[in-house]
Amino acid sequence: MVCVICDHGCWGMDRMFRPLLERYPNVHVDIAQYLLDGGIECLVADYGARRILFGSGFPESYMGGMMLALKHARIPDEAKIAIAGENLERILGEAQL
Amino acid sequence: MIGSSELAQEFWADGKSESCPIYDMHGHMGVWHSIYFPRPDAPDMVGTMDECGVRMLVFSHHMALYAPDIANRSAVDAVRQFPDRLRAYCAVNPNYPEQLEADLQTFEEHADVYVGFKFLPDYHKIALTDERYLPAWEYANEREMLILTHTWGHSPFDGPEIVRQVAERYPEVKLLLGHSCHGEWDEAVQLARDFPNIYLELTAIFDDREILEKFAAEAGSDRMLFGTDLPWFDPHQAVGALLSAHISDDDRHNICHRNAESLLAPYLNDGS
Repeated sequence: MVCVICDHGCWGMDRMFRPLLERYPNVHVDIAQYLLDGGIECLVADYGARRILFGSGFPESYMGGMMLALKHARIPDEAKIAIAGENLERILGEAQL
Repeated sequence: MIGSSELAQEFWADGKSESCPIYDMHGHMGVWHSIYFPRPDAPDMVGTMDECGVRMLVFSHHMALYAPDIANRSAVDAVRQFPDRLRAYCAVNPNYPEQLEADLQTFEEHADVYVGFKFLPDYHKIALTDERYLPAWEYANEREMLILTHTWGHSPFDGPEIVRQVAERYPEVKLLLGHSCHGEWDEAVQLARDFPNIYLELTAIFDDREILEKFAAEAGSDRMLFGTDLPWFDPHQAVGALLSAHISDDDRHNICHRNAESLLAPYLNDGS
């Protein structure tokens, strides 16, 4: 089973979802509410870009907030592409319905 | 892309704008219990500011909010390390009125550091109207200084009805409503309409779609201020939201720098 953690809130939730990322390799996290300065970079460094999925929070949140944050995060372009869409495409491609 | 305006194109390409510098009017610094911050200290925060086009951050040190006798010193040191990039609010914890008295006695020694005071009533559980804040209110009112106070909808400590009471008493204070009475948006707008000295500060609002449009239309973008709680929130997320909102680039200039430049002019001798 693939699990995606979303709607985790913006007020310092690393302490809540990082233990799950540590323990379960099929757990992923989306960044819709991950507003932490430098957070995307640290998640990529600690768990790899494959565990991270793009989320905007739309329509509750503006589409462009996390787009600009991801665009200018201090991570390689390959990691940005993976987070922006490739990871979800891979997960959906592996799903057995 | 996140919009077709000139500012959107510039921020998307470069991550910052020469024509639209940002003044972040609601920052912090340092660690916070149980919370992970990758970049909590002044040098790293200035690095983030460089990347995002933030010219100036006005902040209160996290530690100062709970132990002001220890950590207002940290704020002073940080501003003097980065005098072109940082200014501070003197943090007031009304549980320690004797410390406020001491800060006021030495306030003028820090004219290069402080632009006013920071209150955090919801966390200190003491309402803005409590007499323990009185020396700071009066000091700021006499000198037309800034007070940034945490405000939140329906709070008995800093909700809109409490804000209204202090706004009536201290008309000369430049009163910055941190989080703009979050959730009670109509009441925040009404406060801005009723009191010309009130400003709507936008930390934690950039992830609430359509509030920026509401504030700009009903209170005016000349009463809105950019803020991020840095090191809590990435300024690029806030800018991306601002560029996605259905407001004009002229509004964005007001929010990002014009209003703050006016408020900070008395404290920035070189005009930076």
